[in-house]
Amino acid sequence: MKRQHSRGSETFARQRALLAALSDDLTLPLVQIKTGLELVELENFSKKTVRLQTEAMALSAESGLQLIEAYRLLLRSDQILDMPFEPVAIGAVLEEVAHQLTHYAKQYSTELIVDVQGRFSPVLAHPASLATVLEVLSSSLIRAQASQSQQTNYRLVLGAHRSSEGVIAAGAFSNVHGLSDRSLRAARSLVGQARQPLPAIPPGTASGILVADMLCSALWQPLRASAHRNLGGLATSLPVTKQLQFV
Amino acid sequence: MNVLLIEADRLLAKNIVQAFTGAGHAVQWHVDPQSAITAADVRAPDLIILDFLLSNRSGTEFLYEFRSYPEWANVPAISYSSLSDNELKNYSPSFKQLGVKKVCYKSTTPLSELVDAARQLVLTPAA
Repeated sequence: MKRQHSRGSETFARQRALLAALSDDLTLPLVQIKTGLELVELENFSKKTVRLQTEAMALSAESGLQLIEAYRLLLRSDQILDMPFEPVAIGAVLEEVAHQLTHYAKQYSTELIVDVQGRFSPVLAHPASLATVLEVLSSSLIRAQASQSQQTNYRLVLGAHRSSEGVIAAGAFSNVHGLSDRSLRAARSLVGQARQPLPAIPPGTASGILVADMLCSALWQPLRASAHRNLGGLATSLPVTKQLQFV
Repeated sequence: MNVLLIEADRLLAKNIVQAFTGAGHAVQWHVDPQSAITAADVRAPDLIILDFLLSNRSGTEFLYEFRSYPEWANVPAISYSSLSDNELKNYSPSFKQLGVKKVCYKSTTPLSELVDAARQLVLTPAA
């Protein structure tokens, strides 16, 4: 009975932390849309500027919806775990995510590059969850990178590689600093309690990383700091399909 | 009016800059407090607008350094942050002493109100 109670309060605390993280990250796109709308109303913009402003607002809305999707998948993670995972070509998922995020990345002057090192057998995953994790993680790193230094151009690599242990790792890599296994561990314990659980990253950005991490933890392996072609980033390790490997 | 804006998000900063330039003011936008200090050295600001939650250093740290230079000791500052008034008090109990004259909560403050607040602070420094 006591154990049941403590498990219940653990789940409640986790849900609460998750909601706090979500609210932090949702504030940013909503404020972007709100201020964008205000400008369209107040300023005497040309048709072209109004179109650009509308596009920017639509992309902000998409980024918020993407985060909500990650949250919903996380709430359903127990059911997802009961479903059989499917073989997924990781290169195709990364290409799809890059395609989805291209316009959003442009708003932050970021070029997206897909880089799969070598040929891999398919990984076992829940395709929608894997795509959502990579989307949320990548859009968070796009914002984080642009918030750390003011440049005219940034680069974000959506990459996959085989680690020294033979495991396939997929993630997002950039010049964002302050992301390490240690800072992630600290952030996991601070989520929901601190406004800036990752000190090097502003709050409207860190939560997306943490929501992606929670979804990865629930379905595969938690995110880990990783390097890919001299860039630092975060990646999750994915199980390879054994049957296909055997063939 | 020359505004020094420190805001971590590029899209939001773009909107703030547009609101101020549309009202006839100049804005120097920076994501990084250190580059903001360098910019202020080149052109002294009449007002600072900043978020307290930044990437590399906090807004409090920035203001402590900024206020240590006598020529900028009295430049008014506005907090435009996702931290509410109460959270800010816990986050930085000394923000009033740091010359933060006005607290604008991002979720509830329209840009027009931010521009008005800035104008008022610069025109009536004792406000």
